[in-house]
Amino acid sequence: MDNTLIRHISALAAALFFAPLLPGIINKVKAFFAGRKGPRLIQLYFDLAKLLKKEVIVSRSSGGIIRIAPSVILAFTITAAALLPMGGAASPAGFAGDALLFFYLLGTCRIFSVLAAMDTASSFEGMGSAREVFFSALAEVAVFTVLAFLALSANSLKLAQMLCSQGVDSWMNFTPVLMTALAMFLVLLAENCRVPFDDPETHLELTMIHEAMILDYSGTDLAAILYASSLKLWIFAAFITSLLIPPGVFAVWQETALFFAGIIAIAVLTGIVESSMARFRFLKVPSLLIAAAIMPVLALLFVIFFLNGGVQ
Amino acid sequence: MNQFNELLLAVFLLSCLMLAISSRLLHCIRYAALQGIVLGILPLTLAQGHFEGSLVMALVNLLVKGIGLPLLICRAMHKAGINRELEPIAGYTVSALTVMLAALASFWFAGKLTLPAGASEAAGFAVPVAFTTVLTGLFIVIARKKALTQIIGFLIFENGITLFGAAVMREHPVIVELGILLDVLVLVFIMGIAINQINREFSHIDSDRLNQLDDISENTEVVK
Amino acid sequence: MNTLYLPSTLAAAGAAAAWLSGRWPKAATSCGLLSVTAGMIFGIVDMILRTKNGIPLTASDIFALPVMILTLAAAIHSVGYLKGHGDERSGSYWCFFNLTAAAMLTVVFAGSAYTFLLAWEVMGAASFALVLFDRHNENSSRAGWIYMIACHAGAAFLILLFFFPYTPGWMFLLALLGFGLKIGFPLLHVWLPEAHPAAPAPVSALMSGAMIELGFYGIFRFGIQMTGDFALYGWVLLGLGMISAPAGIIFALAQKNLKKLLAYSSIENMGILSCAAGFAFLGVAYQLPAMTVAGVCGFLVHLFNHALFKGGLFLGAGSVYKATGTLDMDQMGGLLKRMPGTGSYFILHALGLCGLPPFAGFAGEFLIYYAAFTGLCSGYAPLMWISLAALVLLALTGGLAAAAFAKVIGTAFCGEPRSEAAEKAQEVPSFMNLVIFVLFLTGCLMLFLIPYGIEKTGGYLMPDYETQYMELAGITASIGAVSFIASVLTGIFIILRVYGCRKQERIALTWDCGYAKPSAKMAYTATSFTATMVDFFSFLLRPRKKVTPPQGIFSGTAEYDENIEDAGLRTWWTPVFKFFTFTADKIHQLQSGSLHFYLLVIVLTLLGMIIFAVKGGN
Repeated sequence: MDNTLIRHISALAAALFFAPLLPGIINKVKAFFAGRKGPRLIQLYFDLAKLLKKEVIVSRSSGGIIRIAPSVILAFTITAAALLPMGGAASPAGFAGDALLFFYLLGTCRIFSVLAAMDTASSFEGMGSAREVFFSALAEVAVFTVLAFLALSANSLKLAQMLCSQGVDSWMNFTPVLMTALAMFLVLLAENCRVPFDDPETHLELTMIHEAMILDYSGTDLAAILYASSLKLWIFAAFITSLLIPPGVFAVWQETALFFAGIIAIAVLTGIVESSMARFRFLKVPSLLIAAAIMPVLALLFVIFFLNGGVQ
Repeated sequence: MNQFNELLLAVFLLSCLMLAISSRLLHCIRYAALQGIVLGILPLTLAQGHFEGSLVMALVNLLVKGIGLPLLICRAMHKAGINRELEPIAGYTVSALTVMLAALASFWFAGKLTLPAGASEAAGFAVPVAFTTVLTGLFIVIARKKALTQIIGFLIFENGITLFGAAVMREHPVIVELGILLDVLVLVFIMGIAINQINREFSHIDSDRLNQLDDISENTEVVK
Repeated sequence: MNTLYLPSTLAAAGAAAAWLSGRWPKAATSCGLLSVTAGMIFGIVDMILRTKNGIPLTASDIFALPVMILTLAAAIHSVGYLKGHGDERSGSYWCFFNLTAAAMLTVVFAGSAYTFLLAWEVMGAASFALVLFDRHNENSSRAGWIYMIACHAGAAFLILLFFFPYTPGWMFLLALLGFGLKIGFPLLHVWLPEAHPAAPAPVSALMSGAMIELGFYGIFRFGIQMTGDFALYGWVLLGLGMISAPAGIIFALAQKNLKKLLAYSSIENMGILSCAAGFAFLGVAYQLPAMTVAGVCGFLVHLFNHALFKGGLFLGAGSVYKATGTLDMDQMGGLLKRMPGTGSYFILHALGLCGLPPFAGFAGEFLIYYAAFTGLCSGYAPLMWISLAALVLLALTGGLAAAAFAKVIGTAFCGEPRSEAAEKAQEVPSFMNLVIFVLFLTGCLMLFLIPYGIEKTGGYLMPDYETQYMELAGITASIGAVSFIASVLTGIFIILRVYGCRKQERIALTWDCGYAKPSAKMAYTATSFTATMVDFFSFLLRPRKKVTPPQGIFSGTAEYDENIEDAGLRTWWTPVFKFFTFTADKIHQLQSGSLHFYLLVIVLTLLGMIIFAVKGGN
């Protein structure tokens, strides 16, 4: 057993255990800005424990997809998490091209949540799904330009190298990396149904995307869905944090500490964004996602211009 | 220092992108102001010799472009009671893509230029960013209907030129730059006043409607 | 006799037998079915035996394999599909079906250009007859004629290609036009969304899954010269793919006819294949072996995936049509509950085709992305930027494909039925589902066979590139492993869920935020599911909307309907044909019926010829 493997497994275990903290942190920040006390940091753990004990109600209209969707979503999110380098330690399952598999695993989760939502014949869930598939198709474009930037500057398609080799020579690359991280942060907000793309708090079903799709889950199923979405938030935060931490500069313990601090910082930042912005109109969302897709291209221009002194 | 310059230039570039997709007048004005503030810092960090001249330029840029003009435009907007929603001719997605293409073209073009000897690396970066800004400004003037957005577009255009000047000119002809700045200032004043007047007379300020002023048929019909 | 031709000979013999026994439908069915299945099974077994004996598979074999598998499945499915849908005409159906199958295999194994062209024409003509088979479908004659025109226009280009020696550039162009009409390249695609929905489902499966892919075989065999400019081949194929992949899926998105949607999705998939081929050629031109290898493997894997998964989807659509009598997705809904077999296999196929892990479709898309990333990192200026653009467009295509199939599954199979026909839908006989499931299994087996196949075939297809093949084999094996882990994990969770919630599960009304009586009228239809996207892409789709908004507090009727015409038809073919009609009308005036006028024309012609002869003589 080498050191990296142990580090990765422990970081993964930490992710699986602490992921439900992130929504708590975001809610605390939002409560702080609103001048409220807000729910406890570990509220989601209580919610999950309670939901696991409750009965499951399944829609009469369902053909069965809603029964298996939570399992699929949970399993695929966990697998995606296992592919990601954590705290500077590469995943043992990594291979050249795992970045694509990583995002496609999350894509499978998404389509199952959409299908399960359509399975209930609910008008609101149909509305949420219709929006989700559209916005996620555009978010995928942003994801791919981010990947293109990372692949080009790391000259590899392996997550461990794409995320963790942006350092050393890359303090020089600092600005483009920051631009890419910004694009990825926008993708995080879009994919995790955060303001300004979606409002996780609203109780007006007409304005919801992701929350509208999970209206008909209950009990164990809802617990799985809530846990998986907190894990997804963690995954994206970990992606951005790994991108921003330059490798080879810090000692291992420092790097690990920075990694967790970074994830918390991103949660706090998400909370601040949510407190200070309003949700966009739906017609406005595509242009922001397109802008997110363009940012890495601009970053790419910076890098190439820097390397060649010009762009051919 | 180079890192810092690059970061500022990235802010400049991203503000162009955000300008293309923002649908509110106020946001556009904010991005223009942001560019003004960056322009207030850049001459100092890009400066090669003649630090005093740069300092004057920086201060004037900061005050006029970062604070003064945006406030003026804001005032004009409020006074004329202009609807804060933009009226784009080209949609926001198309606008964003146009800015990207503008950036691609600028970076390609800038690579072909030879900078004056002694220009710093960061100055090399500033040139394509300046081109992109100029093109974005022009695009905004072309692709948005409101008169006020045309002023903003012009301001952006001018920001680009200033940036280009800051990057390339070795001896800052402060007087020239100040002169340009004065022109812009006067222009914004006049536009502000004009908008107020037009608003009082016609209750709308779509520059689009100005095409009714041509000599051809419809116009005469309107007169009848 | 060469065993290669045995499958097609058997099928052709079956065609003759079916025609002769046309008066007794049952006899015709057994003749046709037995001969074609025997032929295909023989072909597949023969291929396996040859591989086992160490004889390498040729490119023809690789193109033939999906044809054989799909023909086998479609033939068995046809038996169920035809029951009640014109089984009194079984004789002609089986005759043309077998003839199509035989012709497709002959195309692939043809030794000479004459055989090829003959088989190609028979393939077109026989499938034309099949498109016309469904008499109840009012569109089928229009579709049939469009298809006929496309086939013959294509053949005209092919004749030019075969019988006149040209430079490689011209040959490539003629091949692109001739075979592109079959593949459905942009502007040449207009027959696809007409003919595929009109044909009986097993035939659509065959046409969409196998026949159009043969166009690529034709291009590679006759359009590409080793002396030609590989960079040109690459750029053109890549460019065509970059247009037709996103445009195809955007049009698919907007359809509400199930088979039409699938047909547009075929155009998209052909675009993806074209991109893969383009990358492969560019890899040769730029000397990037990794890109060539990824392009070639991506092409082959995606070819298989598309054949099996799209074939399965069309067969599934056939089962749905048989059960509900409609292809309009707005009239469906809730079919998963009523037809669990058809529904679940259809869903599996759709997920596979979208390229989502853990199914094999992902491996194909992955390899093509991999080729694009290789191009991106190559450092050659134009290649890099075009690769980036291709990457972005492919990503958009992937996302929209997921959206399109989410629409199909969500509105046709999920939720509550929106019409009486859907309400009363009955599950089709289980053998029809079984073949679809077997197709799916074959497709998924690919995920595990792909690394093996890449390793084995790569070695002798292009021996120079062995290291790259080995590398890709390793990568695809890793994909298989991770997908397997994810599936096992899913299985564990499902078991836990079933075990844990055994006693605590209750079936109840959809909550729907407290509405006491949610009805199917409130749920999203196929049209409304994609309305936002249709608006976003309206610059391409140009939807014609018919809107009657609800008025007043107690609104009576409200209506929303959108009609989307094909862009190629709208912008190019309709004007072109209008021009021809106009010119023909003008020329038609020559036929005035007056004898004197005709004499005048004859005399003038004679004079003209004399002048020409005299001039030419000098």
